[in-house]
Amino acid sequence: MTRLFIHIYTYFRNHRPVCWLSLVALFAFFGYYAAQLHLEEDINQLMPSSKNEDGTTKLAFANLKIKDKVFLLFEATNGQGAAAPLPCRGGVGGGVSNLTSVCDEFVDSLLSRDSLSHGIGDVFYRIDEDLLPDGIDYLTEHLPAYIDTSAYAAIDTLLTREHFTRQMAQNRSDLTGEFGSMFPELVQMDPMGMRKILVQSLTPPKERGVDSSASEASDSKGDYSPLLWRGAGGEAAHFLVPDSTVCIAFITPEYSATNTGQGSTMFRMMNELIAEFAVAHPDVRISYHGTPASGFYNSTQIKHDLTTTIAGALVLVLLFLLCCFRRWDTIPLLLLPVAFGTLFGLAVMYWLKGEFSLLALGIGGVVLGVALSYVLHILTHHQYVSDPVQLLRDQVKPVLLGCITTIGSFAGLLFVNTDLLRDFGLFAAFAILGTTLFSLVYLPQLLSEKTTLHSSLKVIDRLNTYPFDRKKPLIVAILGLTAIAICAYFIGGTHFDADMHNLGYDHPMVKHSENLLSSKTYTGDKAKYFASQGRTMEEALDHFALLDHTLDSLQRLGLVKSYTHTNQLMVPLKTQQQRIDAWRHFWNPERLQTVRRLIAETAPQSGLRPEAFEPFFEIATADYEPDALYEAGIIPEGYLSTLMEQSYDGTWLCFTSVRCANDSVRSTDSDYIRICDAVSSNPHLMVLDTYYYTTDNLLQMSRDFDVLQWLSMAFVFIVLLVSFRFRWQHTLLGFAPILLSWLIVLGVMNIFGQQFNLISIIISTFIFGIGVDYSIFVMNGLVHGNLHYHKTAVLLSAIILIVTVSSMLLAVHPAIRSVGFSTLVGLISAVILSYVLQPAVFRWLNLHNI
Amino acid sequence: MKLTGTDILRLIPQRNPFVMVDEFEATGDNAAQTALYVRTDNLFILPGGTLTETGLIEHIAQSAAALAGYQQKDQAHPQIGLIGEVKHFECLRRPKAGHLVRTTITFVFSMGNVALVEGRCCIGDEVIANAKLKMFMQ
Repeated sequence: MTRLFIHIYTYFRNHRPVCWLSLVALFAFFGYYAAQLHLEEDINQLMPSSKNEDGTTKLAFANLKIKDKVFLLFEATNGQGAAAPLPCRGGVGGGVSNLTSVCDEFVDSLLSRDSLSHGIGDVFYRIDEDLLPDGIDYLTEHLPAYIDTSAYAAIDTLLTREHFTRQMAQNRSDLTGEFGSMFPELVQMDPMGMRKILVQSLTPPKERGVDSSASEASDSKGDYSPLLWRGAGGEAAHFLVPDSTVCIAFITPEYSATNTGQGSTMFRMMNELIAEFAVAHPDVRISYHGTPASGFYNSTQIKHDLTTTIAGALVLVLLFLLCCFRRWDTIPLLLLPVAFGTLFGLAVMYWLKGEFSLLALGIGGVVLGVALSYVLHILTHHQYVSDPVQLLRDQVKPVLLGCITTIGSFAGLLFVNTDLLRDFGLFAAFAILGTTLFSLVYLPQLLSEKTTLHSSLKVIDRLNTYPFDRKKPLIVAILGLTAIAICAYFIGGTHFDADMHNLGYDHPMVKHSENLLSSKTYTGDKAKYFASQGRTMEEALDHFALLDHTLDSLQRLGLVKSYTHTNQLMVPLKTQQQRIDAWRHFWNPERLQTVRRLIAETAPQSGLRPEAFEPFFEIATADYEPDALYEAGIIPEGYLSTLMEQSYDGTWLCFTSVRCANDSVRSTDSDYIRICDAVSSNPHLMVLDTYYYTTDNLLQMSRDFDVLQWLSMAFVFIVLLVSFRFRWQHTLLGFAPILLSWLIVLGVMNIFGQQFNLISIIISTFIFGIGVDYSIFVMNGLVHGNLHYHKTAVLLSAIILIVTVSSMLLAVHPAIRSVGFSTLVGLISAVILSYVLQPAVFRWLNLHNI
Repeated sequence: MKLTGTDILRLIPQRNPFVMVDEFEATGDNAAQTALYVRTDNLFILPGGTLTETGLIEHIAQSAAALAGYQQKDQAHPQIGLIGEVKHFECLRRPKAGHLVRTTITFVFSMGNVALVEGRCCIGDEVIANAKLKMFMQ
């Protein structure tokens, strides 16, 4: 290998134009493809893809619109809204009418601004006044389909003279009452008061608050209670929480939450508007939350963190290097290989994938630190050895070895079932490969012949020559600390934090909005979506019966507090047909004759004309056809999409919103998880919570990862063994710091109560890779007697990496910040171990061997 | 007894140029026949001389108001009514200026201040529009 690179060197030396041309051409080539790469951010890509046992994807959550809903909250900050006595009645109190008018104004200006970009699919913020009459019309035409067959026993008991006498008086007062005078036809078609029975069977403990829309929709099925959403003065009704202090609008973005590029336009627009409204209406606070909002703030925060902390660290590092080398031309020499490696890595990612996660790129920044260390090795070595051929002879082997073993340590990531980690692993591997090859092929050409050892390097040299490895107390202290950390690991084991929520960034406004809504609506209860699925909507509805059954029995057990009975609104066609048959069967001529007689006898007593109830006989004898309500176009789009949806692969889903106790977030015996377990045991039912499905996978993944980590350790060990020509002592000595620093990280994490998460797992491979490099270089130096040069490079690279990693501790995004701690510990222990212990042990071994 | 001209004004609260009932004749307790001459100065007329669908609905509503006014004892102060709901409106043909629209009005149900009204408009023997209205009397 060494000979190959020396050949290339001499060839390029004699053919300079070829060297420069190929250099420029390669830069242009990889640069072009790297520029084509589409950068995007989707925290969900961190999720392992969840599969059913038969291998079909359980659910691509990324493609569900229901997940993409944004909740827009208008909050009365002066407490005026609380004065309104009735919930959800637009325009009753001054505060409420103010809230609703601000809501209207906001949505109007939002939509008018959006008319150019079309980022908003639908805003559901009020119910059209047409909905109620249309709903009642629909009900009149399809009444039997909404009467459960079990209700007939009760209806049969109504056909008595006593009941009719009472009911006629009731009918009269209904007809002159507020609702009855609006819709007299409902009383006309129901002389015996079936409506009471229907209302009883259709109203479970009602959902209020956000899901008041659910109960409202069920109101149109014949509920006579005051309609909560009728706006006074003919205004359209808005959604308000029970104490009327918050008005809610639901936004369905045109683009999925994963497409943050398009989504960000919408959120930027909303933020501008919110700022304007904060001035115009200081008494109304506007906030929003929802998956797309979180996605937007996550990616903005990552970008912000990258540009500030990482860029700041880079500047510091460059300044530091400039001080050390005291030469301007060293900086481009340092950066050129890394730039080449980055372009190479990105270009390869473009060929393989076409797109790349911003988060992976951000963490990948650390990898570039590793890549930089190879360049540093060559450059510092050049400070001591001016002849490039000699330089290559000394450096090719350790640099290539470091490169291979580092890639080997990243290789574990390639087998992990998560796109983001795999992407990161690939990118890291190729970036390091690109940098290494560039440093070995082109870098020697760029080095000047004459070199002088500069004073700054002398400072480091003085530090290097200080015999740390001969100081007994230091060695003992290090050994002691190592032993403590390793003990901690063996006592405590490793803890893996599978709750992905902890990795996301919550913007204060989003958090406020979320807390506000949950505190106003459910007094802290959890509201989660569950769904039944099917190839057609009808099939999904059929399967919903199972879900209904499961949830019903859970409600009896007290686990479920309440849930939306979607199937009472969306009645499967089969059930509709059964009900229609039952209706026909029930209203036989004898019963109709009885009703006619009873009406004739009792109606005049209450001052009603018997003919007024003629509509009843029309609906009793009419022909009915089952009809799919979801196709009737009566339910507003914004509400319908919370009940059902067709997912990306054509599967239909029918949703229900379940309310349960909001106990500790993640324990297997929490109410929520128990409900999830019960529901997901049926193949046609699912929990609309990625985290539920991925937690198990994540835990499995971390176990897999443990195995992979040990496998890649074995790989590194074998590579070392081969390269040290099967000298066991050297191999073991080279390997010891790698293993030890890994164990120290695990132990220290334990001592400080830190948990591993997906991100710090990535980083553990990186620590591993760095440890490999350091110990290889030191080992190489020890064996060949040029330890001095290597130590300088190791120290430089360690300082650079420590600066970079420390800067990550300052980042705001939790995913990036979590990288900092474990990495810092790992880095420092790797440096100290290879710097102090390795030479000490080496000498000790040699003393005993000789 | 057929009422025309200013007599109609005793039955309905509308005044010119908004009056859209030219003839009224009660045909039963809850039914009446009305007529409208479509003229070019009608407010609901399109440039081509066609009466709009909205015009037809208004005509039916005013016809119903006239029937309500006729049933009322105090005909000097006709009640103001509101259209609560228009249901099953069906327009087969729009009348043109010069046509005489004859309308049959029936109160299918009335209770308190609500009335369910059925209206049918004809030109000659040809039915041109049907509607069910819900009216509220103030």
